Amino acid sequence: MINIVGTRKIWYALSGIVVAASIALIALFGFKFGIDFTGGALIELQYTNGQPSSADVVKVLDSQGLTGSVVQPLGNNELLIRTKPLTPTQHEGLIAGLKKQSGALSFSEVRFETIGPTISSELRQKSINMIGTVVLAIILYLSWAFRSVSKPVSSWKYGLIAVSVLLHDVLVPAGVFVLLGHFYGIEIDTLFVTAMLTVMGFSVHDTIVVFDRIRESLERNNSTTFEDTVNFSINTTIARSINTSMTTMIVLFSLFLLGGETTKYFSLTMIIGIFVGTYSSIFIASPLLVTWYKLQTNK
Amino acid sequence: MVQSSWQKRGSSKGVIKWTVFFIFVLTIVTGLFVFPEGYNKGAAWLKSRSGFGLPTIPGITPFVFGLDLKGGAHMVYEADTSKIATSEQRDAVEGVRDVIERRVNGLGVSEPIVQTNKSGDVWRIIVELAGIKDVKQATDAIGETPVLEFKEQSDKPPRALTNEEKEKLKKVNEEQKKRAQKLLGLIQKGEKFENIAKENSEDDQTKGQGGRIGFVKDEGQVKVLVDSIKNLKDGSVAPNLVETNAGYDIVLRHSQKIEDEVGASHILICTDETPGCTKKDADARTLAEELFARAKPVNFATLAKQYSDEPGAKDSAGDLGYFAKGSMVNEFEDAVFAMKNGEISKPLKTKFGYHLIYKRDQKTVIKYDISHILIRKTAEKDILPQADQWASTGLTGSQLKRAALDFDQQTGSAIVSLEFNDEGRDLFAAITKRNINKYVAIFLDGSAISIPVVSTEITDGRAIIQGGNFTVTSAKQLAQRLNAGALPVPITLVSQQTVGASLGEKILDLSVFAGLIGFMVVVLFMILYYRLPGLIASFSLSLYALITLALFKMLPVTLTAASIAGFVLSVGMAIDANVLIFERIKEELQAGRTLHDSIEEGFSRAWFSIRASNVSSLITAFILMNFSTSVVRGFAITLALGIFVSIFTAVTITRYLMRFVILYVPAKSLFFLGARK
Repeated sequence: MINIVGTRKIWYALSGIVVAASIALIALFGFKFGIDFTGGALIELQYTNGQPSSADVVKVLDSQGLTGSVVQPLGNNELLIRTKPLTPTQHEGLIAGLKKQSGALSFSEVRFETIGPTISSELRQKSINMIGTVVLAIILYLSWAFRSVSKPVSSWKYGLIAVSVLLHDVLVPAGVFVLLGHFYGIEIDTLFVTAMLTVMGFSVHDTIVVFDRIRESLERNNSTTFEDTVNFSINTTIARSINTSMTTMIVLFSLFLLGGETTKYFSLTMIIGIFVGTYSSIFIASPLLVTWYKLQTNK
Repeated sequence: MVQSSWQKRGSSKGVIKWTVFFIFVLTIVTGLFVFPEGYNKGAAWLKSRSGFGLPTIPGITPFVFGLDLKGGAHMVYEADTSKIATSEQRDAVEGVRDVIERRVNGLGVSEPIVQTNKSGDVWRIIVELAGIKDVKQATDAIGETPVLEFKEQSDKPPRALTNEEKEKLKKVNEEQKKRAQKLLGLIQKGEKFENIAKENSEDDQTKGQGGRIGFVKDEGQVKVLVDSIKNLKDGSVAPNLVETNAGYDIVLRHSQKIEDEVGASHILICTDETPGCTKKDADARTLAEELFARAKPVNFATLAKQYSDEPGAKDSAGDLGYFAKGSMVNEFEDAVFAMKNGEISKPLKTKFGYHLIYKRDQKTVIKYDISHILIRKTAEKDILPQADQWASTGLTGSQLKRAALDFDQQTGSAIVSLEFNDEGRDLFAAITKRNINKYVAIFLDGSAISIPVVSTEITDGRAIIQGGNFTVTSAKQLAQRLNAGALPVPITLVSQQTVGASLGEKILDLSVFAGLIGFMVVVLFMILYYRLPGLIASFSLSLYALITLALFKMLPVTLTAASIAGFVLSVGMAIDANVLIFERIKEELQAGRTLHDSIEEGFSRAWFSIRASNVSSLITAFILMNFSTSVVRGFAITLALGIFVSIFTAVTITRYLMRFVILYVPAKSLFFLGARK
């Protein structure tokens, strides 16, 4: 048996550092929001025989009144252009201008997205609402599911701990994406929010299994201390926790490495989230229960 | 210990065998349903190799792919409902939806999706065109839809001018005044009045004659003009501009004359000498004499109203106002000028009949022969936007059945004839009925193209648009545009996402490939770690995948890159339930139970965990489903569906397969589950 509960201070410290780092990163660099949240237009062009230099493209953009746009070459003859939202006329004008400028280099527009400010502010609002709703729903559900376990720690505390662990699980991928956004320009869009919410659901999923085991053990034998019961429960569920996360991670890795561009960072978010989630269910969630119990009894 | 009713402890061998057989059949059926092409290819290959023919299966239902996999366009239009009453907004937006759908149907896209959506106060129309090659064509087609509205005069009082507008008005009129002043200056320097008038006067009625008005008295509208030249010599121009409500005048006096004017009323009794009159001369005369006997100044008006045959006498009471010599027929004139004031004449015969004349008074007036040059002022109503004067009637392009090029019967010029549908016809009848002798305006794309006066109630649902500058071509074009669908409200494109078809295919291939690889690795892992049960679980997992895919085809569920990711994710999570169960079984085995009992115990104890943990994922999925982006919703639906099916397959199918297998495997076999003591 591994003494996880006994060594809990180490895990608290580790998590504490990582969470603090994430918060610092978020405060320092902020998230890099994609056009879903800021509004704007995104054009992806595929060139068949060589692509123009970014400087040339910027010239065309400037001549169309689209100064301040960003041109990003994507490798294998692909170009990504970001501008402010475009009306159909502006869009056509830009394509025509680019065609004229590139001359012999032919291209096709494989993707075009324009999102006006009303839509993007709506998406922002909706995302925030959803996150709030999910958190609330989870707390309520957990309190209800564990209602039969009121001793020695009341059921709503299980719910609260699960949520705190959840926040921990969410902050880490968020921090990672702030880094990615700052150094590699990876953006946050609605799929990112979706991935985060899935991670939340999954993280709780995992925590519940451990808590359930604790509940069962508590029902069965009241002879051992709370601390020992919890430790025992964790140990018996480690295999299960790791295996389920493992299988999910396998498919996610497969998606990340082999899947298309659109779901790449989506799967990455979930990989990080689920990894951290598993770690926290084992090393943080249950030990927190013990800590709380100790605080309660030492009052 | 929580137990559900359908988890009996063990079943008879018969039930187990039949259930397993059923599972096997289910696998084959779903497999064929989901991948008929694969089967058909295999059958064809078999036939070519061995001449052994298997029946082929028609590929009935294909998978439904979303935009990002099929390629296509997703557009969101916002409808401007600010000018429409809240109660009518829904109908108007539905009208827009219908019109857009009509236009989009003509583009050759299979199954276009056009939906309305309300977000807060804003009405939107969402258009999804999967597989469209030329998005520009679509945005053009939709964007070109003209906005046709019928409006009636609003009884809302015209709004007051804003300060800005008042300033503007003042400035404009000052300009005009300066202009008039300049012209006056030119005349004073010696330019001919007539010429300046012909070129510059804004009084269309007189400018042709060099601005000549003729002889007028100093009363009525011209009083100010006359006053300005009363005391001047003949042939002189008023030294200053005369400002009136209409504008700034330059006045020229030609001459004056003095005349006698008589103020009189009369009663006319017509005779049959006048066409349309049936009274015989003798009768008319008798009547006239009778009236003469009765007539007195006090009752003259009443008698005139009652008996006078003059058209309009009922209203005018025979009052002729003031007139000078030369306006009436000779007999009349001679008589009336000879009469004394207050006198009523004896019946006097003229070609019109018998007259009784009541002379009220006579006076001498001076008349002035003048000319003027008018430079108009801009009035308030010229600046106020037209729209404020007009109110919507609810009759718009969406009730239009047909528009056609036509030609005016009388002038031969090109017009557009409109035919409304039933609803439009009734609306139009009501509108014309309540607006008889008033203006009704036809607005196209926000400006009035025609403002006819309604003469009668129109009940046949037809109307005509005639514009001053319609050519045959422009009228024809308008009819075409209207036919293709006229919108009741203006719309703007606020969001657009297009994905090229080739990109979509690439994403699909990659997602499927990733899914397959992931699946195979998971299966491998399961077999290695859990051995025989792992194999069973893998089979169960395959069935799970087939069932879920079959559901996707049947419902159908639109597959996007995100929803395929959701499916792949749920495959990973489906394993979860199995793992939970197996770990439990291992424990029970380690505790010393028989294989049979361990399995049953394992399943029932694991149930609480399975339920609890999957519910939390389901909660998230349900909340996500309420997000309006189709991409996110697709992910949530596949996730939720996957979770349901995975619970089913893990708990039911795995269990029966396990029960089946252990019928043939020795009890207490630890190795078989990979358990260690």
